[in-house]
Amino acid sequence: MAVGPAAGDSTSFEHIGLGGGVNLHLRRTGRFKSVLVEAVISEDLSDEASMTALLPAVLRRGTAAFADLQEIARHLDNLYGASFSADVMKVGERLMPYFRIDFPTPALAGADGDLLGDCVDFLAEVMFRPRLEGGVFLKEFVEGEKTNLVSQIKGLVTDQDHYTAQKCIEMMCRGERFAQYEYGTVEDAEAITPESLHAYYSRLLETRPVDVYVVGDVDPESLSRLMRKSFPERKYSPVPLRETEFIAAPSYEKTFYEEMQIEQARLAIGFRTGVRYNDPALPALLFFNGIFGGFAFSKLFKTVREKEGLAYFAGSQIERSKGIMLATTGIDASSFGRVMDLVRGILDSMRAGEVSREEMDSARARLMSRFNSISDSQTAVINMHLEGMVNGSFMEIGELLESIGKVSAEDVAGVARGVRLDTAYLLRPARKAGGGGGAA
Amino acid sequence: MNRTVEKSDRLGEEYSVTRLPSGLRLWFLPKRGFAKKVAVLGVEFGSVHEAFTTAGSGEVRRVPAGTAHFLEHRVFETDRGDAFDLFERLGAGSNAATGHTNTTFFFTCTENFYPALEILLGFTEKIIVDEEMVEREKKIIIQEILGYQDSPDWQGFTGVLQGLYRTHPVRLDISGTVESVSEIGADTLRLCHGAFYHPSNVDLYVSGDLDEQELLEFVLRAHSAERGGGKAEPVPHAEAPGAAAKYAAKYMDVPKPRIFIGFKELFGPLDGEGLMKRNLSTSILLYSMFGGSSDFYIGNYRTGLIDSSFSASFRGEAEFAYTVISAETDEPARLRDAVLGRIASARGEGVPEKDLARARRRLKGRFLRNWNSPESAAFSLMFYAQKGASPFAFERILDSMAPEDIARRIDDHFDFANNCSFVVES
Repeated sequence: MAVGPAAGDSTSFEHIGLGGGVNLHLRRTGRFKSVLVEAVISEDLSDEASMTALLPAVLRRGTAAFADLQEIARHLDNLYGASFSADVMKVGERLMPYFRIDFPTPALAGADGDLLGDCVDFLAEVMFRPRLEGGVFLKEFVEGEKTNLVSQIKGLVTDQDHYTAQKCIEMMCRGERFAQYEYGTVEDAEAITPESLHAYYSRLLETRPVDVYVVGDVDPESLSRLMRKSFPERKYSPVPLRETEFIAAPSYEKTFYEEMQIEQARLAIGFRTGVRYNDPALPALLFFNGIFGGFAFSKLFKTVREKEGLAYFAGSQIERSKGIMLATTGIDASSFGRVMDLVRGILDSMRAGEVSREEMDSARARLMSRFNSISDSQTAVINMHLEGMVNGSFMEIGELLESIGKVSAEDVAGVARGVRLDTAYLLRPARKAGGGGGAA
Repeated sequence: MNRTVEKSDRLGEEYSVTRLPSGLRLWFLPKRGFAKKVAVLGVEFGSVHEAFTTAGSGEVRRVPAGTAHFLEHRVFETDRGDAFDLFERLGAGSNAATGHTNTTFFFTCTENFYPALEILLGFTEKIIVDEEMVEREKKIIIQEILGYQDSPDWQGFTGVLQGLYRTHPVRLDISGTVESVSEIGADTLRLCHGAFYHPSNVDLYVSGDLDEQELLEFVLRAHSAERGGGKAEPVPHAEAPGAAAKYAAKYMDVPKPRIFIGFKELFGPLDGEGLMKRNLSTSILLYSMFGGSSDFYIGNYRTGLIDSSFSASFRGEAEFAYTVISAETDEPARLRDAVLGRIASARGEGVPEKDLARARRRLKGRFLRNWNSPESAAFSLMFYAQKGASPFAFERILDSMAPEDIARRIDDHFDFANNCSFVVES
């Protein structure tokens, strides 16, 4: 069943189909002291986000063999401090539950017993052999994790940078699935029952592919043998996943304001980039973002922080699967108009081709360095493959580096002309009763 | 030049440390096959160094809170331009951080390692600063401080340290306050740069696929001048027993209260190994009592008193040591009682040996991960070196600790007179 290694690049995995919609991707390498195993279930981001997010939280509470959190935690302590996490990740309009275990390379740990086998089996145990009661999840687990999920959703306001970014996305992508917060809503979370969650879980297992990534010093044959032993045969009839909706340009520009009891205003500005993952202009978009606000030499950082002293941080990032860019900063609310003018000015100048040779060289050097070192990080190689999976095409590092080498200032201006400001979201300090003048 | 090498067969790693004529120590751990190269500059100047005597003069100088952090910002201005830009032109990413005891600058890159290293080393050579630059930087730093004021976790953490410490400057906010920062001038920064960025007060940590001889020769060339003077001597701080406040609170618009329960520890002088031993034994103890597999954590997680935000961590330096146990909880008073109750029972009954053994095994496995990449290796070298201990001594010290050594920490560390609870609530 082995599909064999993908050609060429330094991040390539050996792909081994295990049947039943389980795909094993192994990158065997002796350079790390630990082995990382990550299993990802592909799922659409939808109005069921709370359900998707609650599932890994409930599964990690207890399994058939390890009845509760304590048994799980002690088991992991004994596996030489293997660290385990289960959560969801949002990539484009996918919301994917993942289960990750990271443990010392068995030979280095001087491990007694079969550390690799135990860790792989533990991952499968959590995913496929949950602790049940009357055929559904334990009420205690579901209710407890619902409470935690609700406080996590409500707690977003205490991280104002992240909150403002999420609100900006929500208003900008209204009517698109991408607007959903990865942990869903309080109302949806509260409505979940042990029965509804278990029905969702069964449907997920029957219809969605599972991709298992392994990066570390692991022998492919013993790994696939262990996987076959631990991962169950499942009834699998895949249902196609939906594509991420791509909107090239907004119909009009919007601005939203909200007040909160805080000291500093936060601003998030959402753009449609007109370019997404599979677009041949992607490398030029990487340059555009880097020069606009992605790097420390960027025009946004230089202007807003260094030149005008309006902020401590100011930067931008792109979501390549969705084709959007978000610029964020923390400012005095009175600088809002000035910052918006500066941002528009920067975009206009880049559209007019005002990108210096130095900016191009710096961006090229940074991007080359970033992609050249992907294989130095276990999570980076996995994330790169996952992003390709979501978008249905895989970037080959060598090709990417080659196209980064060729991007011209004119290509960047071309991308800039397609970038459109969509939504600005300003979270500002509520006026305090009794005045008393704010800080300098 | 004095060069020493330490090797760990089990890790399959070795590093060298060389004291250069200028006084700078160079630490190098090769990482073959990795594209990424890392250099970290560690300067022994942090927020607690607010009073010091400069070399030779014997005069005690005091600087406003937030000076080390302010200086960290300004060091990026070089005579060739902004260092952020210079690094990026070489394809290197860079950053810096200021803590209680140290300032750290680093870059990572795949190409142009040596030109980037030259920029980094330049940080110790000179500082370019005038009043106008200082005034401009103040605006940026004040925005940074205002941002921290909106973070309940940051407010809780600094709040509990202020509740614990009566006089020790670890109670000061690392970035200072809007008021203290406004007192800082160009002369303050020049004074501190001269006093603390002296090579004998600086360590350089390098990791990646590099040749040691080439590295050493480069650093010697780029950093050859023996600078006059010597490093400043920080004024030592005594701390009186007893917490400054038993309870304190701050009102912020948070959906769920957070509590920060702190213990400070007062102790005599410790050498590097002693420091590491204290850190390891306390970590094992805290994990056994409050970690993810403890009865305390599990029992209170099940009833919903705590969630996964619960954490217990120890910070031990040569001059101060404290534990902070924190969580988001709907019932801070009940959680406080539960934590103090758990400590009281441990003082009476100790902690089961099998729990300690499990915590020890876990720590051992986790230690391996410190050496996974050039970045984590360089920062791990720094972490242990700044404690004055050999980075690979970890396992030997861990193995040499008897259960009684760990149990003794319960009484030594947890003194109820040195306890403060700080609550952030709306």
